[in-house]
Amino acid sequence: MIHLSDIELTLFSGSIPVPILRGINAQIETGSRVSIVGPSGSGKSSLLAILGGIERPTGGTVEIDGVDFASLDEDGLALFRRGRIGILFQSFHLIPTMTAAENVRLPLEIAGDDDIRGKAAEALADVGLEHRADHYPGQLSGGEQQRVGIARSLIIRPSLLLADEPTGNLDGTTGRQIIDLIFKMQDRHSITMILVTHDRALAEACDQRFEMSDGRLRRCEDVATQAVRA
Amino acid sequence: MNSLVAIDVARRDLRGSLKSFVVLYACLALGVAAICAVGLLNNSVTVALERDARILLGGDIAIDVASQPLDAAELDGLLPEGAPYSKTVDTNSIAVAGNGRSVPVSIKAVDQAYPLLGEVLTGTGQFSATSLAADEVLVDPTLLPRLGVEQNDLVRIGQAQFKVRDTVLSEPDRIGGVIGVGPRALLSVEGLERAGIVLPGSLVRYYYRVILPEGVSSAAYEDRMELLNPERRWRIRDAEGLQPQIARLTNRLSSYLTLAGLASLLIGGCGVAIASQHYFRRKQNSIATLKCLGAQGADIAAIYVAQILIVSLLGVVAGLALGTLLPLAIYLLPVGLLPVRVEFSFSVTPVIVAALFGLGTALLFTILPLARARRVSPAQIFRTVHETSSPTPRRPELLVIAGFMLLLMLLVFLTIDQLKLAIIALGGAAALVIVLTVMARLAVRGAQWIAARTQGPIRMAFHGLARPGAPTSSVIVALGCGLGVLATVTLLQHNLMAELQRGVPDRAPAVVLLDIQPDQQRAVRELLAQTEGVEVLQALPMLRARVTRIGGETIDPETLGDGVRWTTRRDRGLTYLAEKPEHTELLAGEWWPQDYDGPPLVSIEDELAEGFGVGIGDTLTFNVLGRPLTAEIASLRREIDYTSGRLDFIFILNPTALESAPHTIITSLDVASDVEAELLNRLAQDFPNVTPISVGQVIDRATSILQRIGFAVQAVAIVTIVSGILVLIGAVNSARSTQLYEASIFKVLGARRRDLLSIFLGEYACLGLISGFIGVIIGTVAAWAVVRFVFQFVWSFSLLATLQVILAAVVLALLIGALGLWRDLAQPAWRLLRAE
Repeated sequence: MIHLSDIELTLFSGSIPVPILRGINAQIETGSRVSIVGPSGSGKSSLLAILGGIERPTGGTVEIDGVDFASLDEDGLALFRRGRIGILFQSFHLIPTMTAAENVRLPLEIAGDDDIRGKAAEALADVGLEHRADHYPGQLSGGEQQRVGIARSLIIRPSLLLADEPTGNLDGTTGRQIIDLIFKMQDRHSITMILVTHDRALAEACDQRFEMSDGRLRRCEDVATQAVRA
Repeated sequence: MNSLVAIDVARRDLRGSLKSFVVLYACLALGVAAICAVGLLNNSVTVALERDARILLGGDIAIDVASQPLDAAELDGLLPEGAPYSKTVDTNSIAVAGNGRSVPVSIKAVDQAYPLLGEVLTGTGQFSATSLAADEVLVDPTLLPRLGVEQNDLVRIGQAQFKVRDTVLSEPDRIGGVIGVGPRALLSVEGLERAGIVLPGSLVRYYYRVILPEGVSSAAYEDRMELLNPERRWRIRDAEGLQPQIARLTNRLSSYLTLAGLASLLIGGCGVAIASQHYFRRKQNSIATLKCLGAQGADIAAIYVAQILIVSLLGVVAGLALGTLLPLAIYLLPVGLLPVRVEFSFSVTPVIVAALFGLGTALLFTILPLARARRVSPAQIFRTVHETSSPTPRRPELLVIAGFMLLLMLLVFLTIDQLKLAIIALGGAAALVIVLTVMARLAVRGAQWIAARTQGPIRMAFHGLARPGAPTSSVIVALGCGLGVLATVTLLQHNLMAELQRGVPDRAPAVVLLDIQPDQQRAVRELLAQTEGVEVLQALPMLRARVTRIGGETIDPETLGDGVRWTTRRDRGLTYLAEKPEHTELLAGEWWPQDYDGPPLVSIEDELAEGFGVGIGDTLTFNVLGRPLTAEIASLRREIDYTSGRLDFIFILNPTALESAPHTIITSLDVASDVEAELLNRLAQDFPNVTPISVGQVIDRATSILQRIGFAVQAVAIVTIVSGILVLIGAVNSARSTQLYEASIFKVLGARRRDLLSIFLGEYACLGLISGFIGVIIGTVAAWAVVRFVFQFVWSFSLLATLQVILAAVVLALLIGALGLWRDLAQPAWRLLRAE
């Protein structure tokens, strides 16, 4: 279960405060598939960063599986992330000088896990890239790079998968293949997934849908109700 | 694109980038400053030498002769009529204060004409020989506290008391200032006679400095005198001959220092390569954009060559400014330290040479990064391509590199006027670069191998080293080179000190007594026998003579080997012995019978015989105090081991050949340290003409000279190490953005800041360790070669010294690597990743 309560994030441009998130409240059930849509600069990715414990909110509380993020320091958050949170990026963020297999192994290596080679091979096979294990990111297509990203984010068997516009850099067909793969993996491992996307159709395929606008988060049902009232 | 447009585009493209070249400026500036400063300093010294050569010699010509002064007939034959001349006498003695303290002194006795040229500087001002009374002495300022006396106090030299009239700070004709058994004591010739220390066979040298009449060429005069006196016992020198002699020394020193500057510049070249590679990598998108807009490879090359020239010029100009200011430090040196008054003299040649070296190096080391930049695909603008391996240089690029190398080599040959040294330096540099590059490549391969077989932080640290595009090889070459020099210097010093220490306690005598008259020998022996803790090690007769003929032929020094020419330049020590000394090994011939009474026989070193081109049965003719003495070579001995501490002579004759000639006895003693001072004072009291030399003090002086030389050599090592450090800083800077990007991904994947620190610091520690290890290997080989073949000592390896170098390398790499890392790692990963 994820609890977000009065989350605020204000950054500074020089000495001028720039509010990014303005009082966000939400509850997300374990195992659910959640989408967040909204225009660029509305704060979607910042919210994802806060959910991943990568960015600290300037106000409010984040609680995941009963753990209050405020009680964890930077290292505590890193340790929390290790076993529970996988993250997918729009621009993949693979390390260009490491092969696909080496990129996939990284989270296990950081966690000090054993049998990393076997698990990495398995994770790559799950995304259909076992034959590309020794290729560098520069030698892979965009779709293939994102598959490596998926394998890397799922190798730790996370309970929460955060996906920041994972198909944003891919063509339609490849994007659909990637989404099918993500959904299949999410189902298989019963992972809670929060998906930030511009793709309305993709958002519709999720159990819970939110819309972000000017730093505020609303459930799409609420948005629809307001629209009907208007 | 014409060149003006290229320069304009280059200038605009450089906006905001100039500060990213700080390491490049520093690398170039350091090397250029060193070369420029050494060049200007050498020029200033050369100008001063040309100006003061006559003063240094003390006249147009100087004649010197050992043991006995020139007699009136010889002087008449040698000096042009009416030519002004000055006579001085150099010898050693011991100065004794009223409080009983004694110190050996280097005596110089001068006549009233001294100095013919230049000035003697004294503590109270200038000096006039005419006012120096026969009972007065001028002394080196360091002698006063050692004797515990002050100005106007009395000191005894030989048999006479002298009033300390003043201190002597510099003599115009004293070069160097380290020769002699102790500090200077300046007397009048009459004063020396009063002292009564010059007895037959004493170690004494007479100098006659002459001003030639107008229009007489000193070189021609010198040649004529040598030709007229083939059997001479004296030596003649002229100012023109002296000047190149000193100039050779300063040129040689300047060549070594220039090479050190060049080494630092070449190490800095690695920094230039890293900085430019990093810059071009950041510029890939700009280059791709320019290509999309129609720029061709040649246009790209023109723009970026212009940029490199602009930034290199900034570094070179900074180096030239620094290099011009540094020589001004000569004005801070104490008066009298240098033999001539050196004034800063600007010359444009060293500045141009340093600038050419700087620009040549900058361009040489940017060719490959530039070539890669030229090859950037316009498609890059759509899709970032990361290098997974270094592209192989193409033939035109290799040709340009070869061209620049030739240019730099040409400059080296023009700058270093000793062809042999230049060839050795270039050959050595090439070998070093090849060895270091091979080692660096092997190290990177090793890191790859380890990264492939390990996991966790160790794998990531080694992956960081082996990462394609990482500047690991350049850093290892640069830092390894600097550390190699440091290791060489450290190990050489260790060996020199070890040799000194090894030689001193067991084998070297504690005191050597010079100038014991034969009739004093018994009394001296009695005194020594009475003193507890004193043991006589050796007592040998000694006199001085010059070799004038080899195998009956007059000597032509030019035909002699380099290693033996010195033995004929002036008089050398001779001894006579009935029996073969205990430790002497004969390689050929036989020792004369104990009671041999036939024609003179001589035993010489085998290497000397080889250099002279003579063997058993050939003859050598000596000029012994004006009398020729021809001796047949009876035996050849193994080369003298000077480290044995035994008294030994290159020429040993049979007793009857020399017994009747005036000579003295040289005696070596082993003295317990607690009775040494008392013995020296007692000897000074009873035998004022005998000069005791405390070997301990000589060793101390040798050690302090070695330490001073060591300091100079260390300064060279420091310059190269600083270059290595600059390269390391450049490498750390260039790798930092990649590291931060990776760190952000690691963070997102759950790494803590301390995990990241351990990965990156592990990477730096490995880099330091590898560079240190390679530096130590190179340093050990170099130091071993010098110790074994140049010094001819027993090699002694110091594990401690090498571990210190490795530790220094690791600490250095960690410190530089850690600079700002903690702060940089605190940057929010998410924002950094989104910015990518």
